[in-house]
Amino acid sequence: MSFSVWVRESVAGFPVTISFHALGMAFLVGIHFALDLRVLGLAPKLPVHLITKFYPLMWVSFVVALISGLMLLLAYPAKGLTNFVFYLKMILIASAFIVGKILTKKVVQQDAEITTKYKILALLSIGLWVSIIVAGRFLAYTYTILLTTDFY
Amino acid sequence: MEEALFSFSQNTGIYSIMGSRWGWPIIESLHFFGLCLLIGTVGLFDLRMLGFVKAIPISAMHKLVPVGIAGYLLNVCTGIMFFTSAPDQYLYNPAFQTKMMFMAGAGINVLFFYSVCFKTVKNIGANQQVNLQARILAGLSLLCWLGVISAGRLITFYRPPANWCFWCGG
Repeated sequence: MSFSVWVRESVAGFPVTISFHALGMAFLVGIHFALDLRVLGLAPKLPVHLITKFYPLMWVSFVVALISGLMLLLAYPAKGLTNFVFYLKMILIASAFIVGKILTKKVVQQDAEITTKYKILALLSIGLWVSIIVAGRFLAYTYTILLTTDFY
Repeated sequence: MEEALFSFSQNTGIYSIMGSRWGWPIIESLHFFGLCLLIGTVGLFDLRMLGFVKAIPISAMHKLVPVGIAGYLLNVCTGIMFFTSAPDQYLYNPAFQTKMMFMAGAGINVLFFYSVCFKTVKNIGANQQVNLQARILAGLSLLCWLGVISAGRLITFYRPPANWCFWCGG
C-alpha cells in the first residue's frame, strides 16, 4: 500500500494525522497568541523576552503541523491543490510568520517600547492566525475535486 | 433527551445558524480559535509549572489565564451549538464520550488546583520551582486538554451508526 493510500484509507491514518495537525496548531497558534496578547497589554509583569523562550516548542509544533499537513495533502492531493483556499492559507501562514518575526525582532531583540504601532502588528498577527484557522476549516467545505481518480 | 436538546437548538435559532451555508464551518473555526487561546494561556501556564521557562514568575504568568477562560467559554458556547444541532451524532459517539471524560478530568483538576494548590503556588517567583503536587496537577491539566483536542478532532470519524468501540455494544 502506498503511503498516500495508507493515510487516506487505513483505519488510523487520516484520523491520527489530522489529530496531530490540530495539536500542532494549538501550540503554534497559542504561543503566537501569547506574545500578541502580551504586546496588547495583557500580563504586563510578564517579561516579553521570556515568552520567546517558548519558541523552540512553537517550532516543534510548526514542524508537527507541517508534516501532518503534508500528509493530509498527500492523501488527497487534488482536493487541496485545485482549491484556491489552500494557496490562500499558505500565503496567510507566510504572512503570519513575517509579522511574528518583525514583532519579535522589535519588542524582544531590540527591546523597543511597546507603542501603538506594535499593538496594531499584534492585532494583525491574531487576525492572520484566525484567518489561517478559518481557511483550514473551510478547506473541508470548499473543494470541488476530491480525487482525480474519480474521473477515470 | 435527544428531542429536548434538538428543540433547544431549534427554539433558540441555533439550528438555523448551523444549517446555513457557512454556519457550521464558521462556528468550527471559532471553536478552534478558542482552543488556541486556551493552550496559549492555560497550556503555557501549565508548562511553566512543569518547569519550562522558570524565569517567569508564576503570578505574572497567571495573568494570561483570564483569556484562556474566555476561550473556554467560547468553546462551551460553540460546543453547545454543535451538540444540540445534531445530538444523536454526539451522544452515541465514542470519541465525543471520550472527549467529555477528558473535559470532566480537566474540570475536576482545575477545581482541585484552585481550592488546594493555588494559594502557595501563586507566590512562586522567578527561577523557583512549584511543589510536586502542583507539578502533577499541571501535567494532568495538559494531558486532559490534549486529550480533549485529540478526541474532539476524532468525533467526525466515529459518527453513529458507524460507531464501533469496545464499549459501544451491539
